[in-house]
Amino acid sequence: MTPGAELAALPSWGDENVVLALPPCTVGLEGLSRGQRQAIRAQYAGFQGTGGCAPEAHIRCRVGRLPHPLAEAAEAFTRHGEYAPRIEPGEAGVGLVGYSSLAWLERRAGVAARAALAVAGEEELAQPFVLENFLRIVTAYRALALGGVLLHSAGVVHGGRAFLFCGRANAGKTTLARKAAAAGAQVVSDDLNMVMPGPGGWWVHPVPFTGEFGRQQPPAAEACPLVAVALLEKTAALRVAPVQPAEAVAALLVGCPFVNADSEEFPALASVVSDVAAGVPVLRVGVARGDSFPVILAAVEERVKHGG
Amino acid sequence: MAGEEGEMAVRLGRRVRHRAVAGDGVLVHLERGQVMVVTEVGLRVVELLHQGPRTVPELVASIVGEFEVDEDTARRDLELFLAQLRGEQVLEGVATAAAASAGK
Repeated sequence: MTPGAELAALPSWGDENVVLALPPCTVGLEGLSRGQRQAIRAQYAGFQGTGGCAPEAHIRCRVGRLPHPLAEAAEAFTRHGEYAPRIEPGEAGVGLVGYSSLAWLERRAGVAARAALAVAGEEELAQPFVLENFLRIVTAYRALALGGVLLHSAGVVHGGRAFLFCGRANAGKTTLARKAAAAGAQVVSDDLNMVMPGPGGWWVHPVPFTGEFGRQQPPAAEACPLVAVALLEKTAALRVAPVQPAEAVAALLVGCPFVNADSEEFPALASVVSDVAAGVPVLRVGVARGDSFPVILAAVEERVKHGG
Repeated sequence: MAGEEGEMAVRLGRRVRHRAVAGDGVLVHLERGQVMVVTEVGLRVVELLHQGPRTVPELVASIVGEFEVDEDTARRDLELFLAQLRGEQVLEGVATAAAASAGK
């Protein structure tokens, strides 16, 4: 029996279902208690599926009850000071071991896939360190299976067009998101944004995963065409410069969480980020503390106008 | 693959992947999350190390044969590049048969 089948065979918490519309797919959570369903619906308002029927969801996730809490200490799941569930890629699927949860996602091309998620405590399921981490990983894998990526970035929409500002922790993503919001732009997310192929190029889709900036209710924007990817740096003065293709691909690879550590997914991931880098200007953008968002955006737009 | 006596061969680490991008190359260490950008020649070295263990003389011979560069320059640049790759922990050392017998 595969790890996924073992998890899916665990007793359920109840008969309730929730369908979440998380681009690029819908995730149906089956076997919930009423309380779990209510908590999830409240937490993911704005990302509810319209069908409401889990069997019709692209990803059918059976939610089960672990017989007892897991034994590993919380410290085992801490990396760089942050909670980090352990991802265990396998041939048929990807396992996820968290502080109080186990999960599994089928590795499969195309939209439909099966998954399983189990917790020992009823109220633990909707906790961000369980469900949101699970959904982040599911979304990253499904995006890649469908030719897109989930990218660490601050996503900003201005004039119906999306700009992504990528960077490692402390590169200034959340600061930029705050500046953008203060200037009247829509912030899609200051942490993770979904980039998928669409009409005429690449499109940014809102997902319910944010950093310090927080989630917008309702979601900040519909899907918008991606105009440019900015590799964000802190500098003494505003600076915008083009990036060589290999550098762009390297930066995008670093910015694709979960899947970029999975050897099975590397060929697909490298192919998708190469296509993104070939289709969208990738710029190195150095931002000084005092630079306003309109000034930053104008500098990026100017460079894009001249071909990146 | 035979190397010179006492010569250690190296190969690309098992958790390292690479890709050619517009003439250059990108090298990714899957576990460490490290990414390197390498030149066209660097990419060729990486490809050779991905195919299997190579000694420095073997790599130098390949580079001199495929690019317009003299042997001394190729060796000097290669040793610098390999040191950089070792620093990023993307190489694995492999004792060649000759090295193993020399150590007996």
